[in-house]
Amino acid sequence: MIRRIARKEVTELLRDGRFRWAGAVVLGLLLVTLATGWHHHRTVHAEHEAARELTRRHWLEQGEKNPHSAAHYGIYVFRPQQPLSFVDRGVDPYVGVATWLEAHYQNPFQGRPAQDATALARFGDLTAAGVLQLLVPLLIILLGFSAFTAERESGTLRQLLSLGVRPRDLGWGKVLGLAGGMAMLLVPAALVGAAALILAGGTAEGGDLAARTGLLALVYLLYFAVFLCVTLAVSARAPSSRVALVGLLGFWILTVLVAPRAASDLARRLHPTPSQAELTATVQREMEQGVDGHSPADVRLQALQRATLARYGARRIEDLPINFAGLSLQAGEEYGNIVYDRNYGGLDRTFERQEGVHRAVSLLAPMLAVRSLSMAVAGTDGAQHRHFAHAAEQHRRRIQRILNDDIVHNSRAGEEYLAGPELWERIPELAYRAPGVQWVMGRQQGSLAAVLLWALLSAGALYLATSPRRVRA
Amino acid sequence: MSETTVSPRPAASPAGRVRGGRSPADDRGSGRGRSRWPVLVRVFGHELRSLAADRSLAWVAILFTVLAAYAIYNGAAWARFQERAIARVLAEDSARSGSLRLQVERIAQGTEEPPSAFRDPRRPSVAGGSMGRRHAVLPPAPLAAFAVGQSDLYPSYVPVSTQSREVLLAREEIENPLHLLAGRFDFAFVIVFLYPLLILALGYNLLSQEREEGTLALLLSQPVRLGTVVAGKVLARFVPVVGLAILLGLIGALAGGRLGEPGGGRAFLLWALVAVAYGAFWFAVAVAVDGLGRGSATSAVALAAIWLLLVIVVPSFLNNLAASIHPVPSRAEMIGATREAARRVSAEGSAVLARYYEDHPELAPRGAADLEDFATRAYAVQERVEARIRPVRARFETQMARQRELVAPLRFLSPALLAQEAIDDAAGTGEPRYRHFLSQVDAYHAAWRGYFGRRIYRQEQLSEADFRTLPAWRYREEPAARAGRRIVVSLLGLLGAAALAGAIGGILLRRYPRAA
Repeated sequence: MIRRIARKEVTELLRDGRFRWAGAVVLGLLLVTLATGWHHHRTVHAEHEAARELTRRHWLEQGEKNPHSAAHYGIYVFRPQQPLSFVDRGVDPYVGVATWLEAHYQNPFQGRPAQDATALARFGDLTAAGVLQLLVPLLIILLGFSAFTAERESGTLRQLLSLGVRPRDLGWGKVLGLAGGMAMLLVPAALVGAAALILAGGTAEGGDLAARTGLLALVYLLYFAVFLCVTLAVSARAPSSRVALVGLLGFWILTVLVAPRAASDLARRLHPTPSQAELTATVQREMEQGVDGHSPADVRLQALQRATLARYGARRIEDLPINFAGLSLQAGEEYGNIVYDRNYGGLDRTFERQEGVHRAVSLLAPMLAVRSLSMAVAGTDGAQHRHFAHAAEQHRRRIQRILNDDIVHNSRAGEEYLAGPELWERIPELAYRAPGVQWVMGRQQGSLAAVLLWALLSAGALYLATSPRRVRA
Repeated sequence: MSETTVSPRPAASPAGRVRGGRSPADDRGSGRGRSRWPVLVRVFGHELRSLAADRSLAWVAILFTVLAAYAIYNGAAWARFQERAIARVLAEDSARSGSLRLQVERIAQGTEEPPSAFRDPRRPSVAGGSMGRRHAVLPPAPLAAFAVGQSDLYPSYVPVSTQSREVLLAREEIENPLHLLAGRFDFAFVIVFLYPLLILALGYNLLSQEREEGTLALLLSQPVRLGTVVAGKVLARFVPVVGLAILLGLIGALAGGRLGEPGGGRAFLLWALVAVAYGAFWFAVAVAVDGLGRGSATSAVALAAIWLLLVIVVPSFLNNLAASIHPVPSRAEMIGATREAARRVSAEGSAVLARYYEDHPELAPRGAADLEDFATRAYAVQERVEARIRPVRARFETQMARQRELVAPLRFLSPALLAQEAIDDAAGTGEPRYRHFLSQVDAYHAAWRGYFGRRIYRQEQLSEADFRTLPAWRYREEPAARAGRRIVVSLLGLLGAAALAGAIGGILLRRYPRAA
C-alpha cells in the first residue's frame, strides 16, 4: 500500500507545474553553483601552487646573507584548497589566504577574499551548499505543506480512510513519494558533483575523500528527511493548508535565517573576543615586561648570559666557543612562543567556545548543525583553518630554530657571517597534511548528534501525527 | 477572522455603484469622488478593529518589537565595542608619543644615555616607524547601532607609520570568521529580511480570504469599490506596521543618545523614509499577487518565492556575476609579485640609495651621505619596491571599481539590496564610507611619510620641538550631501519598485474574480 501511495504521489508531483518549475530552478541553481564552485576551486588551487613555487624559489635564490636577515625575509605559506571546497566554501571568504613566516612575529593571515568583493557578498555566497541548506528545504515545504490538508479540504482524505487505508501508510507513502520527487533533482546533481571530484583525481587520500563525500551525502539526506517529516507532520495536524504553510515557513525562517545570526551575537556576548588593539597591546606588554609582568626582556637576557657563561666556564661573551647572539635570538623566539601560545591560543579557544554556542543553538535550528558538518566535511570550517594556521606557526618555529642554531655554531661574536644556499636548502617546505576525516568528525560529534536527534524527533512527530486516532477526515 | 462587512450610506448617487475596477484616485477632484473618502476611512477603521480582534496584528507587533529590540541592542553593543577600541588606541598613541618626546628631551639634557640606533627616538626612522606609530580612526556615526554593515570586515582604526600600506592594513579587527559568514542580527537585518515577511504574513490574503469565506461577494454587493476595500485593508496594515518600525527605530536611536549629534537627525529621517518606501514596496507586491485571484495558499507560496528571489537569490547571484565578469587578481599572486620586486631592489641596496640622492640632491644630508646607514637604505629600498608593485595594486582597485560599476545599475533589480545599502549608508557602516576613510588614511600616510621620509634621507635628528609638529590625524566626515544623494537614489529606486508593483496590482484588481 505504501508503495502504491508513493507512486501516486510521484505521478502527481510530475504532473504538477509548480514542481516542474521549482524543481527546474533548484536543479539549475545547483548545477550552476557546482560549476562556478568548481571553476573557482581550480583557479585558486592553481594560483596557490604557483605562488608556493615562486616563494620557495625566492627563498632558495636569496643569495648569501646572515641567517637572521634570511629569517626576517621569511617565507610565505598559502592555505591549500580542500577538494570538496567546491561544494561548500565555508569560512574561506573570511579567512586570509596566506601568512608570512618571519622571525619574532606570529603574523596574521592576510588577503581575505571577502574584502576583494562587493558588499553584495554579505548577502551570502551562492554555493551548492547554500542551495542545499536554504532552497531545498524550502522546496520540500512548498511541495509538501498541503499533502494532508489538501486531501482533507477536497474531501479525498475521508474517502481514503473509509477505504481502510491506514493513516500511517498514507504518511510514509507520502514521505516516499516526496522523497522520490526530490531524488529526481538531487541525484543528477550529486552525480555531476561526484564526476567533478573523480575528474579532479590525483588526491593522495582517496579513501579519506570517499569517506568525506559519503558523510556529506548522509548529512544532507538526514537534513532533507528532517524537513520532509516535519512538513508532513505539520500538514497532518494543521487545521488548514494556510496554517500549515505559515507555520512551516515560520520554521524555515527561524532555522535558516534567524538562528545563524542570532547565534553569532549570542556567542559574541557569551564568549567575547578582545579587540585587535587590546590583543596587540597585551602581546607587546608581555614581550617587554614578561608574561608575569616582572621579568623584563633585558633582565631575561642578562640571566641567559650569566647561565651561558657559567656553563662554558667563560668570563666574557667573546670567549665563548659559540655565538651568543644566536642563543639570545632563540631565547627571544622561545619567549615569544610562550606569549603567542597564551594569547593567540587563548583566542582560538574562545573561537572554539563560540562555535560551541552555535552547536547548542542547533538543537533549536537543525540548519546550524548541518552547516557546521558540511563545512567540516568539506574542509572549510574554522577548526581546519586553525589547524593549518597552527601547522604554519610550528613550521615558523622550526625555521627559526634551524637558522638560530646555525648562527650559534657556525659564526663567532662580532664577526660578519654570511650563510649560503646550503643552509636555505636545509629549511624544508611546509609539508602540510590536512586532518583526516576522523579528526574532523571527532569535533563534530555534537553537530552529528543534533542532526540525528532532529531526524529521530521529526520521524517520531510524523509517526504520532499520523496515528489512527489523531487523523480526522 | 476579519469579516469585512462595511455598511456605508445607501447609494444615493451613481458614484455609489459597485465599480471595483477603479481606484479612489481616479476620481479625485471630480465631484463624484467626494463620497469615497469616508468609505475608505470606514474600511480602514473596520479593518483595524477586526485585526485587533483577530490578534494576528498584535502577534506580529510583539514579534517585531522583540526582534527589533534584540537587534538594536546587538548593534549598540558592537558600536560601543568599536568606540572602546578607538579610545584605547588613541590613549596609547598619546602615551607613546609623550614618552618618546620625554626621552628625546632627556637625551638632549644629558640625563639619559641614547639607546641603540634601532631604538633612538631622535632618529626619524624610529620616531616615524612602528615605535612612533599613530592611529587613523573612523568614529562610529550617530546611527551606527542600526547596522553592522561592513564595519566588521573593514578596520575602524589603522596604525600609521612609515611602513608600507600592506603592513598597516595587515592587522584586521578580530572576529570569528563564522560570524562574518553568518552575519549579525542587527536592525538592518530585521528591516531588510524580516520586516517584509511580517508584511507579507499580514497581507498575503487581503482579498483571497474574504473570497474563500464568501464574504467578498457580500461586501461588494454594497456600494463600495474593490479598490477602496483593498486600499483600506492595506492602509489598516501599513500604518501600524510601518509606524511601529519607525517608532522602534526612534526609540532605539533615542536610547543610543546620539541622535542630536551633527547628521544624526538627518540620518534618522533618511532611514525612516527607506523603511516607509521598502514597506510600501512589499505591501504593493502582496496586493499584486493577491490580485491574481488565486487561493490564499497559492498566494502565500508565490509571495514566499518572490521574497526568496529578491532578498536572497538576486543579491548573491549579482555578486557571483560581478566576480566572474571582472575577477579580482589573486592575492597570492600579489604576494609573489611583491617578493619579486623586493628581491630585485634589495639586491641593489646602497645603489638604490645613491641613485636616490642623485635624483634628489636637495634631500642629501648636509655632510657626506652615509650610504651604509641601514635605516636610510632600507627606506629607499622600501620606496622603490612600493613604486614597483603599485601597478599590481592598481589592478585590484580597477577590478573592484569595475565590479562596483557593474553592480550599480543592477542593484535596482533587488529592493532588498537597495534597502540594505541605504540603511548601511544612513548608519555610516556602508562600503562607501570605508573607502572614504581609507582614502584619508592613504593621504595621512603620505603626509606622515613626507614628513619623516625627508628627514630620513637627510639623516637628520629630531628635536623635542619636532614632536609637536608631527602630522596629526583628523577624520573629515564624508560630505553629508554625497551620502544623502546615494540614499535618495536608493529611495527613488524603492519608490519606483513600489509604484510598479502597485500599478500591476491595480491592473490585476480590475479583473479580479468577485465570486468564490
